[in-house]
Amino acid sequence: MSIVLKKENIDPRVKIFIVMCISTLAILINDIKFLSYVLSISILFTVGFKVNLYIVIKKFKRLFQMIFVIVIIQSIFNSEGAILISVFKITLLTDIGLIKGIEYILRMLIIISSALILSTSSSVVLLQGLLKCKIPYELAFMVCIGLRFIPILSEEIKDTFIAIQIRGIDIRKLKLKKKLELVSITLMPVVISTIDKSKKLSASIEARGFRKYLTRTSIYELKFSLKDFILIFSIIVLSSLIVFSYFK
Amino acid sequence: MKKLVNDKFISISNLIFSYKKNNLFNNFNLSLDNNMFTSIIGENGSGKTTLTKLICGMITPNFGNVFIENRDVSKMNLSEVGNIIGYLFQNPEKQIFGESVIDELSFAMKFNGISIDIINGKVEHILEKFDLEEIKDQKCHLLSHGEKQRVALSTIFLKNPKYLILDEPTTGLDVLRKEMLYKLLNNIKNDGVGILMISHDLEFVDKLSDRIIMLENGRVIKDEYCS
Ligand SMILES: Nc1ncnc2c1ncn2[C@@H]1O[C@H](COP(=O)(O)OP(=O)(O)OP(=O)(O)O)[C@@H](O)[C@H]1O
Ligand SMILES: [Mg+2]
Repeated sequence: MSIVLKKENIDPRVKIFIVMCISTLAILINDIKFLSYVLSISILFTVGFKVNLYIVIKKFKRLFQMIFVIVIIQSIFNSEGAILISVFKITLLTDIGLIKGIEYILRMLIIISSALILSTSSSVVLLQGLLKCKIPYELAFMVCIGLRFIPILSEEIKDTFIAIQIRGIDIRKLKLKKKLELVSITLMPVVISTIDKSKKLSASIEARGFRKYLTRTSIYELKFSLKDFILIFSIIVLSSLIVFSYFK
Repeated sequence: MKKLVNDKFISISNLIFSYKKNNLFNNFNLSLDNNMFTSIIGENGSGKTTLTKLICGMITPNFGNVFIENRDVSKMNLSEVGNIIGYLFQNPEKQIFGESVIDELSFAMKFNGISIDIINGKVEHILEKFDLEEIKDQKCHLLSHGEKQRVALSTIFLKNPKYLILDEPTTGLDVLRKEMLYKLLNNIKNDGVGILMISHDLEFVDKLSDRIIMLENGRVIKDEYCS
């Protein structure tokens, strides 16, 4: 019997390496110009890995709005630097606040877009990649399971809010205090069902003999190809270019 | 512009809907009366649950409209729909939020600012009607599936909805409780409340329905009125 597996194009280790390089750069650098370079590199790679950016933007619309609000608040409460906008001697926006806000947005975008690269691999392949990087099996396994739980969780929260509204509760009309109360109540079923799911998962894993055999084999064999080496080479060159010109 | 006005309680016109890639409903038309017990049957994955969710506006169609009492659902708030239609989810766990059964029953009314006395009166009445008095102080997440279903159903009745949508209300009910549900639905039907029920229990469907619709791959393949 032969099993036909869809061959993954690019080694997951390469993807992990790229994501690590890009996010390290995002944290190291404090400069709008260089951060936008890093962002464009990151987006270049995500597009190269065939991530559908349009769907992503639609999905993360809420998150982007939240980031935007945080940035505005952050900028307003920053009182260093030259004043750009002020009302009755109360400083609303300074140049440093503005710059910090923009840097924050860029950094978030870089981290989100680079993380998307990982989402193009299936979790099994990613797990194999983590293992080959000498990360302990339990840890790598946990990371992969955790990643799988995120979309389920967001789906569940969405469902809960639909169920509440169909009960005839207009969330928008509630006072803030009631709103918070409602959120705390509704998170209950989500938390309970998540704990339930993880319990079932662990029971079923155990029933199938998790960790019974010390060495684990995998149906996926990872091997570097020429394409992988080229990718690693290019990300190293790009990162060092940015690092050298930034710290010059 | 020609406006579609008819006396149907719910009407669905030229509806197109797909989850991601697989196209489920393609130019779907259906109308439902308020003074009728309608059942939807069909195999797993034929789109029954999806259809009812589209009716309530929980998911939006790619194209086409759904009207409830001649109002476009896409322009209505979900809570407005909820005040007209009572919806029982296929999985009752999705709609239970209270800690105990009593909490659960008073949950929506509390948030809508109804006074305690009225709430207590209504809850008492419902507890009796649904035979829930024994378990009224139980923790909801410890209830059995059938009990959860009964609690979920009873919360819907608190609002006296004009129309009911029930997604497989008989799954997990024992013989006795099914008989009770039958009597209850029959009474409601006689009170003039319209009901749309999804069910795989053909005997149950046969006993109650005025109209039976059969779905397959998002298409109506049978639509019969029973006498
Ligand atoms: N959230 C979703 N995302 C993607 N596909 C979905 C989603 N929900 C349902 N589907 C798909 O849509 C189709 C119809 O699902 P639906 O739940 O409407 O079926 P159903 O007729 O209610 O089946 P059942 O009798 O099992 O309850 C199925 O093929 C299902 O896989
Ligand atoms: Mg269903």
